[in-house]
Amino acid sequence: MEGIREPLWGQWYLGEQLYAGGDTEVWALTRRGGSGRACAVKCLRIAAGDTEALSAANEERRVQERMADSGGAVAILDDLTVQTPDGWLVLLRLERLDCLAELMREGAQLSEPEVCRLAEDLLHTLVFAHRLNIVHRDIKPANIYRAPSGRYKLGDFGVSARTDEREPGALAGTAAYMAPEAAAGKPSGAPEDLYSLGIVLYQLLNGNFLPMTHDGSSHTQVQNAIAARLRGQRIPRVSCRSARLRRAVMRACSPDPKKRWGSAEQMLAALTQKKRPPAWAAGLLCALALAAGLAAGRLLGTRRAAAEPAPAEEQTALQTGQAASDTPVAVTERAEPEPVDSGDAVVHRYELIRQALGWEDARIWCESRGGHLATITSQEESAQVLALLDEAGMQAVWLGADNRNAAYGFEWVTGEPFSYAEWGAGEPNNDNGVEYYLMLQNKDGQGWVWNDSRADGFTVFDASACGFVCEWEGAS
Amino acid sequence: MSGEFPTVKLRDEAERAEDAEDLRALLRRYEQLYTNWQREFSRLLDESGLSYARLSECSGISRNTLRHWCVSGGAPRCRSSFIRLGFGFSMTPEQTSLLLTRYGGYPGLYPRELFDAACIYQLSRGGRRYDDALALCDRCAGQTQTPGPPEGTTRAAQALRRMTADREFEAFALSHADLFRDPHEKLREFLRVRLLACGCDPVSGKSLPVHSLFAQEGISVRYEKDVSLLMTRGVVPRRERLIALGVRLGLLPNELDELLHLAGMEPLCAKNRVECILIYVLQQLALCHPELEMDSAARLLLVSPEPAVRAQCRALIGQYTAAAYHSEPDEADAALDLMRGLLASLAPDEAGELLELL
Repeated sequence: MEGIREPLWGQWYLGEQLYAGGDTEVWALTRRGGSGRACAVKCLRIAAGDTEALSAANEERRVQERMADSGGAVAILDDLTVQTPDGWLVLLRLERLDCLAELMREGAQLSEPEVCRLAEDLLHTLVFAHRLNIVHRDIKPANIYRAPSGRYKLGDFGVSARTDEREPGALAGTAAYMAPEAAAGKPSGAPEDLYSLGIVLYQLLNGNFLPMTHDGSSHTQVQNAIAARLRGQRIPRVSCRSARLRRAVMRACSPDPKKRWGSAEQMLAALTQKKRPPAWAAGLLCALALAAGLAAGRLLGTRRAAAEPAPAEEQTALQTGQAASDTPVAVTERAEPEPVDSGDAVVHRYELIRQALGWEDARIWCESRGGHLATITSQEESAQVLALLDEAGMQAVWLGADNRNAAYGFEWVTGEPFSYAEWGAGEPNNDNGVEYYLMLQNKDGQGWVWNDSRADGFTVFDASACGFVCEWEGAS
Repeated sequence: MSGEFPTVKLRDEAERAEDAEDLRALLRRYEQLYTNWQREFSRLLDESGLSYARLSECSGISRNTLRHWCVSGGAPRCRSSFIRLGFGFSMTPEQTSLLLTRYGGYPGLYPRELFDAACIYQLSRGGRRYDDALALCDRCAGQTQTPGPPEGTTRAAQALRRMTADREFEAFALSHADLFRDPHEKLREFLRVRLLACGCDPVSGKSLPVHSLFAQEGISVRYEKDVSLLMTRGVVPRRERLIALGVRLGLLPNELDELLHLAGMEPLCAKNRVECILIYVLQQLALCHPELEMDSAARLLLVSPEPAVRAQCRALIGQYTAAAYHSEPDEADAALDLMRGLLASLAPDEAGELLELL
C-alpha cells in the first residue's frame, strides 16, 4: 500500500497507517486541501488464485452494504478491487469515526444516559441486522464508533461475513465479550450479540472494567474472570442508578441464552419503555387489587410511606396475590417502575410470594419480574424479611442462594459475597448429597433459621405456608 | 486470550497440512489467531480496563508511546519495554516471559541474570514497579557477592517466587555469586556441539572453526557475531536469528525447539505466521526426507560428549540403516529453497527479515 502514489477514487491520498495484521491494513485517507469528512481505507490483500479469500472479502462488503440502510453501521463509501502481480487488493473506503475503545483508553467514562444512548443506538442496528439474519459476532468497544452527531455505530462485520465457514471450536469474536455458548463452539445466533453488547454496557457502567475485575486486578485475575464467565458463571450485579438499564444489562449478560432477552427488539423495548405507568393505570390496578380483597401488608415489606402512591411493581405484587391459586407466571407484564436517580442509599424491597414452587422456578419467577430471589447479607436485611414472614404465618420460603457449584460453597444469585449466615443447628449438612438450595425455615425451638434443602423441599410442609421471597433494589 | 484456540492444536494442523494450498487455507482460517502486536497490546489494554494515563503511570512508558502501539501499529523495540508492560499489567513472571519471547523475540526472564532475578521476585510479589526491580538490582550489584551452594535455574526461580522481602532477595543474591556468573551454560554447550557437528569432517573426524564453517556454508557473518556474543558474554540472540541459525545448521524441528527452550523461549509457535510456515516445511522435510534426521544423528554421534545423546543417535541410525535409508548432500539445500519460496509467497511482509537471514 505504501507504494500507492496516485490518488484513490480520484482525490484521496494515503495518510498514516492505522492497523496492519495478516493480509489486512487500514490507512487514514486525506483529501487534497484537507476538507470533507474524515475517511479511512481498509485494504485486504489476496493472493493470486485464492478465490476463497476473494469471495470472503466480497461477502464482508456485501454484509456491510446490506447494513447501510440501518444508518447504524459504519458506511462503505467506495470500493475498488485492483489486480496486482501477486493477486488482488480489495480497497474499501469507510467513514472514519471515533472508536469507543480509543475513547475508553483515553480515559473517557460515559455517563449513564450516554450508556443508555449507546445501548439504544446499537440495539436499533441489531434489530435491523438480525431481521436480515446477520449476526455481528464480534461486538466490542473496538468495533463501536461514535459519529460527530453523537450517534453510535457498529463497524467491522468481518467475523459475521466469515460465519458460514466457521468450524466448530474455531474462534469467531473476542473472548472478553464472547457469549459462553459461542466459546463452547455452540453459537446461538442473535443472543450472542445481545450478550456481547451486555458485557460492553456492563464494562461502561463498571468504570470501564470488565465484569469481576477492577483497577488493580492482576492480569491473571482478569484472565480468570473471563474464563469463569465463559464457563457460565453468573456475573455480579452492576452498580447503576437506573434499575431499568441495570436489568437490561444483567438479563443480556445471562449465561444461558434462553434466559436473555428474546430479541434485540425486546431488549430495546425494555430499555426505552415509558418511565412510569399513567396515573389512571396505577389507579385502576390498585382498585382491582383492592376489589380482590387482598391485604397489602401480607405482601409488601417496603419501607415506603403509606401515603405515597404505589408504583407499578407493587401493583404487580397485589395482582400476584390475587391470583394466588394460579400459576404466578400468568401475571401480565407491566411497566417497570422508574428508579429515582437521587444517588441516595439503596433500598431493598422484598415481596413474599405464597407459592410452593421449586427453588429454580422461584428464581426464574423473581427474575421475570425484574428482581431476584431475596439475598440476606446483613442482620438488618434479615430482620426485614423475617418481619414479612411472621406477619404472613409462613413455615418455609426459598432464598436466593445455592451451592450447586460445590467448589464455591453457597453463592448468592446476585454474586454478593456470602459472608452473613443464620444456619440452623447442624446445617448445612447436604443430607443425601442433594441439598443445594437455601431455605428459610421456621423450626421448633430454633425459630427462623437457614437450612440447605433439596429442590422440592416443600413437600414436607403445608403448601399454603410455603413460598419464596423476591427482592428488588432501588434508590431511596 | 482466555479460552483461546490451543497453540498445540494449531501446530498439529500446520504439521498435517497436505500441501502449500492447504497451508494457505489454514493461515487464512486462523488469521485472527496469529500474533500481532497491535492486536495483542490493544487486547491487553482493553481487558485490563486501564487508560493510557493509568498504564503509563504503572509501567513508566509514555502515554504517546502506548497510544502509538495501539493506534498506529508501532511495536516496542527494547526488552525493557516488554518487562515494563509486564509490571504495568500486573503480570506474573511467566506471563511477562511469554510477552518477551512471543512478541519481542527476546529470552524470557532468566533467574541467572541478576536484573531478571529481581524482576521475577518483584513480579511474583505483585503491586511493584519496574523501577523497584531496577533499584533492588543496583543495590545488590554494588555489593560483594560470595559463591554459594550450586543452584539449578529452576530451583533458583522457585526460590525467587517464594521470597517475601527485599532483604531476603539481597541475601540470596549476595550468597549465590556462582548462579549469576555463568549464564546460559546449557545453551552455549548445545550450540557448541551443533556447530562442531555441522562443521565436522566425517573422514578426519575434525571440525571446522566457526568462521571457516560459516564461510564454507555461505552463512552470513552476522551469525558469527551472534555466536561470539553468546559464547563470550552470554548474550542470547533474538528469536528470529536463533531460528534462522538453527535452520542454517540443519537442526530438526525437535532440536530447534530445544535450542529455543534453552534460550528461554517458547518452542516454534504455530500462532506466529512465519513460524507456522516453518513448522509446515520442517514437517514436510521430516516426512519426505527422513534421511536428513539420520545425517544429523550421524554427525552428532561424532562430536557429542553426552553418552545419552550418543546412544540415541546410535539407535536412530540403526533404525534408518535397517530400512536402507541414506542421506543425500543436496537435500538440505533443497529444503532451504522450499522454505524461502513458501515464506516469500505466504508471508512476504512478516518474513522479510528471516528471508534476509536465510
